Amino acid sequence: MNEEQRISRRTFLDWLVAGGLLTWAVAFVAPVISYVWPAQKRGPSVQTVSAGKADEFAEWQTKIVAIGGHPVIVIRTPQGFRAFAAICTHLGCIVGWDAARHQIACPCHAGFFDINGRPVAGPPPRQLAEHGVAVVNGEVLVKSA
Amino acid sequence: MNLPPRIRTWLAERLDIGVAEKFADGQLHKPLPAETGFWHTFGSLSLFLFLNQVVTGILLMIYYRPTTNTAFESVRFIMTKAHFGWLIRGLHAWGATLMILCVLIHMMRTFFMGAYKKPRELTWVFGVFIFGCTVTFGFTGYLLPWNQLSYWATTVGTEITGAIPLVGQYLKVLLRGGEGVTGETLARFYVLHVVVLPWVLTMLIVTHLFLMRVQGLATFERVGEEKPIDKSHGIPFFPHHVLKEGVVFCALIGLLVTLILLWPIELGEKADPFVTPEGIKPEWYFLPTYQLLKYFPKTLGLFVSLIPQLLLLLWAFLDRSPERHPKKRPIAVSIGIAALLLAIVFGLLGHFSERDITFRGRHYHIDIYGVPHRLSEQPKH
Repeated sequence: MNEEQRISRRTFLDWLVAGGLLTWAVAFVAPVISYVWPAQKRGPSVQTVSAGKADEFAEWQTKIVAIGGHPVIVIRTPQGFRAFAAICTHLGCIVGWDAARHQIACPCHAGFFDINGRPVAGPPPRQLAEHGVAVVNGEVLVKSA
Repeated sequence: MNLPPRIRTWLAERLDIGVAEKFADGQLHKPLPAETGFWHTFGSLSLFLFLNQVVTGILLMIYYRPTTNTAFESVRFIMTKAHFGWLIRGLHAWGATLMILCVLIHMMRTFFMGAYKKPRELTWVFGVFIFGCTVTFGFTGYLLPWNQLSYWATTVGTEITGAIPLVGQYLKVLLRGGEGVTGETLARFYVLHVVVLPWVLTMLIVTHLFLMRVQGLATFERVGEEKPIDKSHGIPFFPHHVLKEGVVFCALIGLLVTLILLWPIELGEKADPFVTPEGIKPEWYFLPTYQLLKYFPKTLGLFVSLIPQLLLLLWAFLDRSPERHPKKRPIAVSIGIAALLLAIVFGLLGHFSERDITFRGRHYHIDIYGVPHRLSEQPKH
C-alpha cells in the first residue's frame, strides 16, 4: 500500500463520526417508522358467520354480511348459495347485485363480475375471492376463507 | 415606519431597530415592474386564503372529534348547533376550493408570462410543491367529515397508491393505518391535515416568498437582459399594488360569502363501509386524473397521471428559450393551452360520466368513458 492510498487518521475519524451520526439517525428514525406502521394485524383465523335463514332468501336475492370486518356478498342462485368478497378488485368499492344483468356490479367504475366472480366488463383486473357457504339446519353459514 | 415615540425609544434602547426599519421600508416601497397588474394578485390571494384556512381550521378543531363514532356527529354539531358554525365550515370548505383555484391561476400567470425562467427556476419548483401540498390538504381534509362521499372517495384515492410497483401496498397500508379505510385512517389524515401539512406548507410559502422578494418580480425582458427597476419607472408596492390587492381581497370575501350562502356545503350521510353509493366522484381538482385513470390499467394509469405533474415540476428546466413574452414563445404557450384544455375536457368528462342527462329534449346515459348513449325513456334522476 503506497502513501496516497493510506487513509489518514483525520479521514478515518471523519468516517467514524459520519458513521456514528448515520447510526444515530437510523436509531432515531427506525422506532418512528415502526411506530407509524399499523400495530394491529389480523391473522388467518377462520370463522363462520350466519347470513340468516335460507328460506328468507328468494332466488337471486343477495345480502352483504361482515366477516372479520370485511364485507362478503351472499347470493342465492338456482343451484345453491354462493359467496364472494364484496370488495371490487379495481379500486375497493363495495359491489352489489345487478338484477337486470344477473351479475355482480361495482357502482364506482361500472365493473361487472359473473356468477363465478370472474370480471366480465369494465376495469376490474382480478376475480372476486370466493367464500365457502354451507346450509346447516336451514341457516346459511359463510366461511371467512 | 412610524412607531409611537415612547415605544420606539424603548425598542431602540434594546435593539438596533434601524436595521429592521430599513428592511421594512425597502420591502414596503420596493418598485415592481410596470407590467404588474391584477393577475399578479393571485399569489397574495392564495396566501390570504391559506391564512383563512388556518384561522377557520383552528376554530373547527374546537368542536371536531376525529373518531369514526364522533367525526360525522361533531361536524353536524358544528353545522347546526355551534353559533355561526355553518359560516366557519363554509369558509373553510369553500376557502379550500378557492385556494386551489387561486394557486392554479397564479401558476398559469407565471407560466404564460415566462416568470419561471432563469433565475427564478427554484421559485417555480417551490410553487409546484406548494400546489401539491395544497391539493394534499384537500385530499386529507375531505375525509374528515366521515360521510359517504368522503369515505368512498378516500377508499378509491388511497387504493390507487397500491398500484405503485413494489412499494405501493406498503404505502397504502401506511397511509390507511391498515388494509381498509377505518378510524386509523381518519386519525392519520387528521394528524396530516392539522399538524404536518400546515408546517410543511408554511415553510414552503416562506421560502417561496423569500425567493420572490430577493429576486423581484419578472419582467417581459429576455433572460439575462433584465434591467433593475428604478423607482421612477416601477410601480410602488405600497400603496399602489397593495391597494390593488385590497380591491381583489374585498371581491374575494364577497365571492366566498356568496358561495357559502347560495351553495352551502352539505354533510350528506354518515360513512357506511358496507355500502358504496352510486356516482362517487372526487373533488373537482381531482376529476381530470380520475377520468384519465379510467382509460388505463391501474399501474399504467398511475404512471400516465404522473407525467403532467413531472412536466410541471421540471418545466422551468426543460424550457430553455430566453424569451418571456407569450407572443414570442408560441410552442410553450401552445403546450400550456393544450394542457389546460385537456385538463378541462377530462374534468368535464369525469364530471358527466356515469350520469343520465337530458340535452335538447333527448335523454342520454354518459358511460364510464364519457361517451353518450341515447336512452329511449326519460332518466330516473
